Parts: sequence; structure tokens; C-alpha cells
Amino acid sequence: MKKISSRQTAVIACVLLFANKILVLPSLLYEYAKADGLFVMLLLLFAELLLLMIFFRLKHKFPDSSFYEIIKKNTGAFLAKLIFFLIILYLFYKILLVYNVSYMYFRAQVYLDAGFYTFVLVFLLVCNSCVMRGLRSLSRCMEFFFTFIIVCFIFCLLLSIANFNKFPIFFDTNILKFMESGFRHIFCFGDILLLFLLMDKIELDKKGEKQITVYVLTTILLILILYLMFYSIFNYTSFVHKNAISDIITFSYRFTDLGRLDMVAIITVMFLSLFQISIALYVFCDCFVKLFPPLNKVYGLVAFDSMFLLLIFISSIDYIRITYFGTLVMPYFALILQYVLPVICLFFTIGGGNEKNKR
Amino acid sequence: MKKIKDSIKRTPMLLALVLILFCFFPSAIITPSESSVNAIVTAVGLDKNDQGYEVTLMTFLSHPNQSYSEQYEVFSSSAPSISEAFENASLQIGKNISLFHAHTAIVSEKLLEDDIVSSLDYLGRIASLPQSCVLVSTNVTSKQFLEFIQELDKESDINLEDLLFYTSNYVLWKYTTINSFYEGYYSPVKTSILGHLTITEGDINGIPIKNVENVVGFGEQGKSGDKNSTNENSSDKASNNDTDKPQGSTSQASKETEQQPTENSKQIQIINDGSSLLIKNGKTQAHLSKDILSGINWLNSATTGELITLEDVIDEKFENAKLIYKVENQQILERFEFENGIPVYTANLKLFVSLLEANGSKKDMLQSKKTAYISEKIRKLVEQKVKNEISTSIDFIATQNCDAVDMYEKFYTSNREQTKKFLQTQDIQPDEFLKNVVFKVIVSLFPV
Repeated sequence: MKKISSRQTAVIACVLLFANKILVLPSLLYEYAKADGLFVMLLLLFAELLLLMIFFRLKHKFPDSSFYEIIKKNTGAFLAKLIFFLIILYLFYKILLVYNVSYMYFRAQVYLDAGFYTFVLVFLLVCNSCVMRGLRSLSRCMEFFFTFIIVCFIFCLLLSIANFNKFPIFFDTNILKFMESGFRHIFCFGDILLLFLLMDKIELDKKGEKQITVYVLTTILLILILYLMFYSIFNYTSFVHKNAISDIITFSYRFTDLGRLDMVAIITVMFLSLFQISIALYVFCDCFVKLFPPLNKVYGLVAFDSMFLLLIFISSIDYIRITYFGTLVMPYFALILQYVLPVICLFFTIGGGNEKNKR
Repeated sequence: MKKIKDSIKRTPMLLALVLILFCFFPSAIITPSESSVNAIVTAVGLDKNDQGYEVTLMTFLSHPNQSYSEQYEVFSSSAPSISEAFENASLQIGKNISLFHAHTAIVSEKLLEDDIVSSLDYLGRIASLPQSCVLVSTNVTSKQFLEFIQELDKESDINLEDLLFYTSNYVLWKYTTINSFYEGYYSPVKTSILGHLTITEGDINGIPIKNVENVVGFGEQGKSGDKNSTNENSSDKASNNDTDKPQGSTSQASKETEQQPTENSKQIQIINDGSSLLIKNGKTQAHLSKDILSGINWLNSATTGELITLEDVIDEKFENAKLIYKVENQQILERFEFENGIPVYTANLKLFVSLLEANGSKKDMLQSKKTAYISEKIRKLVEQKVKNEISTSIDFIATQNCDAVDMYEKFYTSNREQTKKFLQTQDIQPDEFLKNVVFKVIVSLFPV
């Protein structure tokens, strides 16, 4: 099977890093940690960087093995199946969260009258077809649009400089609130875990590792600048603004004559949401196939779509419930899968040499 | 069929595209235009009346006309709550109220007697009123104000947005948007400044509005407001719609005839004297005159273009002259320190000025060409004047317990522990901090 290049991996990592962080999260972090939300973000993004290092180490040790094979080999088939079942649930909720946050954003900014089901239809169709085309097509598509996305993002940041108000007051919260803020929103992080799940489809060398690290560091820097601008512009009213990337450019009175300047932000979020959901859905299907070997990814898609639609139709699950559940229950779930699991995998790399060399 | 299946298998995106088109294309065709479903509101007014709340909406009408002029209509509606008032307004005009394009929100002084945040909450959170919308208060009811603005818009090029933009950017030197109001409201000092526009009768220097007989209830100076709050002010609709009028010059002539003041017309003026309202906890605390504002603005580095008037200047070059200097640039070096536990604010104010005007004798007039002229006497006079203005303004806002110059926040940022300790030892709240600050201002004058 042909693998994706290191640049494509870097693009996937960057796109995933933006997930759930550029819309409602700055406001949610402010509610707990005030402007120190910036440092919560810094801490958790640093954790992402450490995850990336673990990924490199794991990839170096097991260049051709999949994540499932590594776990199976070291812990046994039952535990591997259990972990992958939990990962499937985790990914399902992650997609649900990205979808709902994006839906709320688009509804507020563009499609006032568009219903929930209209969005479901469009998103599911596009993302399903992206998954059907395979990882290489998807990553090529992401690679093609990546420069455009980053340019749009930087454009939004540059425009926001015109609205700069004053530096926020940092270190104005206690350590407990700070840690609680981080823990409650931990589910919005850990996106590098998806690279672990794709590791057997990634072609990686030393140069590629460097490239991915540079891309990830740049993305982290851009996200941190967004947070700094957001807290600098809105200060005490940060908790009111739920669409960070749009609000930082449309806040100013002077830009109103230019019409819908936030179209730049809308396009950026549109591409990012579609790619984030598509890649997460691809990984979901891949895990599904590994969990139920006789089935292929079409079954995975059918399972996902059925679960997604059932959940929406039957339980009328909405944005508020999803974010509430995401801050109340999911952090425990996320802590184990996002951080404990990769750290355990790190132990698998101790001792012995490169698996490929051994063979 | 097999061919279709194969092509779907090869290009699933094609199926997605066809399905999306299939679902949305018919609905896109039969859906009516946005403008016929939504009323595009450009300014929204809030009042309190006997029924509870009155909402007034200045709405853009997308009627076809040949004059390329924008047509606006003012609608209002009353109900016990703002959401119900909006519901009623929608019902009356048969359209959804869309506040996405609203640039201005007007609140009456009466509404500002109580905390307005609960009133604004619905507008911002539910009705999606942009936070960048300029918030302005008025002495009359918001309905009357918007009706005057509608008349003004018809008569001249002056429009409300430009007026407020200028005031915000060149008089107050700070934004007076809903967001900046909230920022003050949620800050530890709970203080914000709001732009204020007065509407009054009589021969005063303001913007005259000639054709005001249509505006209801202004004779009582807005005290009684108008009890009948449904949309009775649609009388101009027919006259403004050019499609109903004869075309060409006749149309223009008839418009001009309409705008001639009648005998019953009152000389109504909008006064924008740069004054504003000091708001604390969402309610009016005091009126700020332009002089007070100008005193506050000396401590705002964003301020430029202030005029300094010196009366009866006698020095080597001038004899009893009235000199007017313009501040071309202003720099402030600030220090926030505690001396013996007392907060001391030191500002080194550098003013770069040019002589704009000199009124006096013939000799004085000859000197007026030297725009860079500053004598020692002038330096002292300017220093004294600026210090007096700052002192008067700070005293005024400090007595109101309104820290409109963010002194608490500045001290807190630069010296957090001592500021906290000071509040504890004095047993005061952050909004009372300003009273206890010792001001030391050094003014230096430089010619441009």
C-alpha cells in the first residue's frame, strides 16, 4: 500500500491541531482561567508536542507496524480490541463536537435559516465521499488547500491587530482554577493521537520528522497569537464571544463599511471543519476495520452514519449538551486515551532495536 | 445501471454532489428573497414605557426606486419584555427582524435609570445584535430620536453613523460600542462612557431638522413619550416611494416642496456637543461635559488635535492676545508607584503644539504667522491650564466613584500585590481606588 508523504502528514497534523480551538474554546477557557487561558493553551499544546515526539519514537521503533499491531503484540488481542473500541467511541464524540461547534458557527454567521438536518446531510455526504476516496486523496486535497487556509488564518490575525485594545491581565487566577480549566477542556486537544492511529500509512524519515515538527510549531504559534489577540481585544468580555476567529476581525466599528470581512474567517473554518471531520472519520473507519476484520470501511461509514443520525434524531442531542458532556465526562476518557496510552506505548519502545532492522 | 454503479464507485464525490443538488436546488428556487422575508434593521432603539419596553427599529426598505436613495422606515412596538416587543414588531411588518446589519443602538435616558444590561442581553445573545454596534443615549425617547434621524437622513447627507463615528474617534477618543460598554460593566470598576446626543427645540447651534410635524409627541420634550406605540409612523412611506411619483424633475421639485418648513414646524435640532454619559453598573451616574472629557483625554495617548485656548497672553511678542494652540501630537510617559503605601500616578505629558490662531492687536496678528512660537510665559500658562483641566475632570469622576481613566487597572497591572494590599488596608472597593490616587503631572511643550 502506498503511504502518505511526511509533508502530507505535517499538513494533517496542523489541520488537526486547529480542531475545536479557534472558535468557542478561547471563550470557555476564559470562564475558568480568565486571560490565563492563553497559558492553559500553551501547556496543552506543549503536551501535543510531546505526543508528537512519542509518535516519532514509536514510528522509528516500529516503522511498518500499525498502532493496533503494536498494542496487540504488547498487551494481547483482547486489550487491543478494548482500547480500539474506546478509541472508536472517542473519535465518534470528537467528530460530534467538531461538527456541532462548526454548525453553531455557520448558523450564526451565514445560514440563519438552515436547520440541523440540512447541515448533517451536507457534512455527512462530503465527509463520507472523502473517506471513500482514501487517505492519499484526502491528504493530497488537504495539502492543496493548506497554504490557502494558513494565508487566510494569518490574514485574520493581521486584521485583528487593528482592533488591539490592551494587553490582558495575566496570572490573575489561582493554580486550581488554571488546572481545572485545562482538565475540563482536555478533550479539545490530543489530536496527535490520530497520527498514532495512521502510523502504518505514513512514510517518515529524519527529514520528515523535522518538517512535521516545524509545521506543528508554526501552527502552535499561530494558535497562541490568536488567543493573545482574542484576550487583548475583548478583555473582560471574552466570555461573550463564542466565535473567536470571526469576532477578532468583525469587532471593530471601522470595518463595517467593508461588508462581510469575516468571509475570510468563514472560508477558513469551513475548510478546517471539513478536513478535520473527514480525517477523524477516516481514522474511525480504519479502527472499525481493525476491530471487525471481515468488514471494510463502507461498513464503518454505515455504522458511523447510523450512530450519528440516531443520536441526533432520537436523543435530540445539541450543542449545549455536547459541550456540557465534553467538559464533564469526556476529560477522564480523553486523559487515558490521549496521554496515558501514548506514554504506555513509549515503554514499548524501550529495549531492542529497530523492528525493521531486526528482521 | 452497472455503468452508473461503476462511476459512483469510482467517483463517490459525484454522488455527493448530485444528492446535494437534488436536495437543495428545488428549495433554493422556491425560497423567497431574503429581503422579502427579513427586515434589515440598521438602528435599534430601546425605551421604557407604561407597557414595559418599547422597541423602535429603523429598517431598510428594498423598494425599487430611480433616485438611488436608500429608503428607511421607522417601526416600533411595545410589550412587557423586549423579546415580546420584537415578536410584535415582526408581526406588524410581516417580516423577521434581522439585526445583523444594525450599526447603532439608541437607549433613552429613562431606560438608563436602571441597569440596561438585562435589556441588552436579549439583543446581543439571542437577536444577534453585533457587539461592534455603537451604543448611544439620548434625552428624548429612542423612537422620537430615530424619527428625527429619519427626517435628517431625507434632508441632508448627514447621517447618524458618521456623526457617531466622528464623536467616537475624534472627541471621546475611545470606542463607545456595546462591547466597550460591556467591558466597562464587567471590569472591577464597573464604569463605562456612553456617547450622548441631545435633541432640543430652539435656536441653538446644532443640526436643524426642518420637517418635523410628523414626529409624534415632541412638544412635551419627550417626557410623556407617545402612549400609542404601534407603528403609526408610516406616513412618509407613500411620499418616499419614487415608484409612485411622477418621474424626473417633477419628482425632485415635489420633494423639495415637501421639505420646506411649514408654519407649524418646530425648529428642532440635534446637538452633538461632544458630551457623554458616565455609566456605572449599567445606569447613568453623571453627565460628562466636553470640558470634563477633554480633561480626561489629556491622559489618553490616543488623543490628538485638542485645542488649547490662552486668554490675555502678554509676553515678549504678544500684547493681550488670545492664542489658540493645536496639539498635533501627544505623548505620555506614565509611572504607577506606591509612596509610603499611597498610590502615586506620575504622568510626563509631552505636547507637540502649533499656533493655530492669534486674536489681538495688529502687532499680535503679525506674530501669528510664527506657528512654532512658544515663550516661557506660554509654557507656564499651558501647563497650568492642562493641569487644571485634568484636576477638575479627575475630581469630578472620582467623586462619582467612577474610574473612567482605568487607574485601578493600571496600578493593578503594574503593582499587583501593593494594590491589593492598599484595597485591604483601606477597606475599599476597586471603584473607590481613584479617589485615593495622588496625581503628579508634568507638562512639557514642544513646537511642531
